[in-house]
Amino acid sequence: MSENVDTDLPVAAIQSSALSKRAPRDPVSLIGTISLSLIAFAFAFPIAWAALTSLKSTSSVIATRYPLTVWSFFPPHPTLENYVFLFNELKLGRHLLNTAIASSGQVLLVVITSTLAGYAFARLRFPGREGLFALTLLTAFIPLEVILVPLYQVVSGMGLTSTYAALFLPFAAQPFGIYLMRQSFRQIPPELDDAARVDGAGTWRIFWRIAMPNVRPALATLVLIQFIWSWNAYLWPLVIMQDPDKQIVQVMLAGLKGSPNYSLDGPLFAGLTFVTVPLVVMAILLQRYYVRGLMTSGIR
Amino acid sequence: MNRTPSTARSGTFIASRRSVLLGGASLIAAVAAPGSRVLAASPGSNPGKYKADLGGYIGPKLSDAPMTLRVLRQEFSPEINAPIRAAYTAFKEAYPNITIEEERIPYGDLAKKVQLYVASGSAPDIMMGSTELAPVYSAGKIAVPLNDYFSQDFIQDIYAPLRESATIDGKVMCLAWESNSSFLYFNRDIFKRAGVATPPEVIEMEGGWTADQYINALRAITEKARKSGDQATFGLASSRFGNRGPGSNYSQLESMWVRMMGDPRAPKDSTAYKTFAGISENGQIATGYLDTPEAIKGMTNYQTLFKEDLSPKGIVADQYKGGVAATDFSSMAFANTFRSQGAPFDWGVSPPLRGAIGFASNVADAPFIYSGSPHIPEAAALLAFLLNDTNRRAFYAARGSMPSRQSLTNEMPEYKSDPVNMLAANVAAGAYGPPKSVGWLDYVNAVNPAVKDIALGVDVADRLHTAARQVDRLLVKYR
Repeated sequence: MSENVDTDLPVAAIQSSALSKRAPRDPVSLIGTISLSLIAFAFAFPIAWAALTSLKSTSSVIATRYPLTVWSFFPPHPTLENYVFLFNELKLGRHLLNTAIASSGQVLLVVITSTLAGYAFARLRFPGREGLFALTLLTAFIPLEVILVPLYQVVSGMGLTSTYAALFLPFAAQPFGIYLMRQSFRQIPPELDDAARVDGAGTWRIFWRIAMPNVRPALATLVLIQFIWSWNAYLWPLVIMQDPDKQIVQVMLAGLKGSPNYSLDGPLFAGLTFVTVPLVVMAILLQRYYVRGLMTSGIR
Repeated sequence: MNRTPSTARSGTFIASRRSVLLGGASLIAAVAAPGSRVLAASPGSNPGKYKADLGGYIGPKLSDAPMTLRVLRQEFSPEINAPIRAAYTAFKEAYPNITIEEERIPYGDLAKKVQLYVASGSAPDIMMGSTELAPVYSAGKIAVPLNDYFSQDFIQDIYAPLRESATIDGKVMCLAWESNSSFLYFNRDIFKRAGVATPPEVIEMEGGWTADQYINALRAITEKARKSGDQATFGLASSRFGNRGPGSNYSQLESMWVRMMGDPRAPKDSTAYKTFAGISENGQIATGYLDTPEAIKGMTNYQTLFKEDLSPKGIVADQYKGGVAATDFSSMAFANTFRSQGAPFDWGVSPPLRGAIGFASNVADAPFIYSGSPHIPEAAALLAFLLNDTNRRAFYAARGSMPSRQSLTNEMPEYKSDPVNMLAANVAAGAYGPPKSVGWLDYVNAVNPAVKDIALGVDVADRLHTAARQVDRLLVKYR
């Protein structure tokens, strides 16, 4: 019995000691945690506020907006009427589908062009390679607004106005994507190529079997960034999509805030919540790959 | 009211196509010649003459060839879109060879889209524009003059200020879609709480408060509110127009503080006349018009609203409708919203404020026909059909806005018996269009920031002089 007592005492002492060692935290780590929490709150707050506001009727949005009270943030009488209106009257589902088609098309095309061009610029030797690459990068510095009229004329001249293809074809090749993939392909040791060639693999086989599996994190980054860009696109769809039924959701939602005299704030917040959620979910799911992709491609 | 046509109204605009192209913010001209068909001789209405009620259309018989007409306008809510869609269906039934493709975009993007379309040389046949841009449409030859396609009766039926705004050198460039001149709305509950008398509830354009009376009332209301610990309620709501807040939209709102201090009946060389005109007769000089002593007095009144905390310096959305502002300026929109959805407080209306004159601006959305359209008569016919009595009644019933044509308001009982509607009609008849200039967008782009600066406290005279000189420089390219 006494032995047991003797044995227990040191264990309790050790546990107590361990607890007391865990208590004092590194102040730098604590400041970091608090700072990150504040930043996360600052970014999440508008989205959460919009989501909560989407559960108010438009008249309630107006009545509780100012001055700020707790009911400015929370719905006094939660309702789903805005979502019903959005899907039944404003056909949000169709517009979401339009946006999904445009985004998918753009992501797919950009992945294809960026990987092929990035691989060529990184691993293949041909005359003018560096010059061509510099020219490609230069296009990143031309804002869409500058080329809007000629781009519209070209796409319109091709008979693509009001087609889904017109939404993403002009952006099929992205200098950022090419740069990202080029950097990633350059990180792969050239000895792998040499070994593959010794084994009889051609350029296409090396690209597909050797290089591509090694740039998966960068690919995830590319997919995420392109999806966000295309999902948030506004100006070009506004210009080229003239059929209201094929218009993307962002332009359709902007139409709800266009007439301040006849407010549709309730449905507007519901729509904004709906289009924000996919981005947030994708960012959370892919953020690990995103960071790794940027690290491995040398873009830090 | 005995009114003298302003310099701006009668102004002749001599601007080269190149100067309009250089206008940047202005719409860019496209090269296009109007159709060359022989026009029908007789003006007036057309019962039985066409396959559908084309209202004021007097153009040639429509072609039987298959064609597509494109229409660009702003997006409305589904119940307001419905009568327009129904009108298209009816038109298509009468003219099966004509297919209508409609493009609806957010209101704030309309001007940008029109600009892009015109610059590309491939624009819809009918586009929603604005009466304030009529000089731009004319100088750039962007729009087809509508006098040859619409009867004089129809054109004369449009409220005179709207018609005059859209008319350049006798040519009607666009047709006002609805009338939305603003008057004063007040929250009776707030006035009652403060023990302040409400403004006159009369229907005459000139029967409202003077600017001084208005500011004094707001002072009393705000002082009372602050003393009782109410920090949220303001005398005047934050602007809902344009960019919102101070300096939001000179065309439609803030210009009233300046132009009400002028007088269109004064001699043309007087500062009172020039203050009202806002710009020289040729539409190219603002110095001596925008910065007169009367204009400085008007903008000092405006500054007082913010200096004395009578109106918020920032943006507060829907402040009046939210019940935390004693007054606001609006068209029939507020009244219709309150009547259809219920008002959260006891509200009333009063005529626009007065300086030397009672002043309200009358900028209105206004469709025009693109000069490059290959189907100008058919486009004019479609526009006339959309604007015929039946389709207009259906639209106004859904939208709740005020008609732009007098005969339509005259036939509506509410415009004979309801004081709010009657005031709206009187304001529509007595409002004034913005100063006419081919560089009007340059003008407002320079003045809006100045108005904001003034609200935030800069020296009024200095800022107006600077803004006027800036406008002069911007308008040089149109000479």
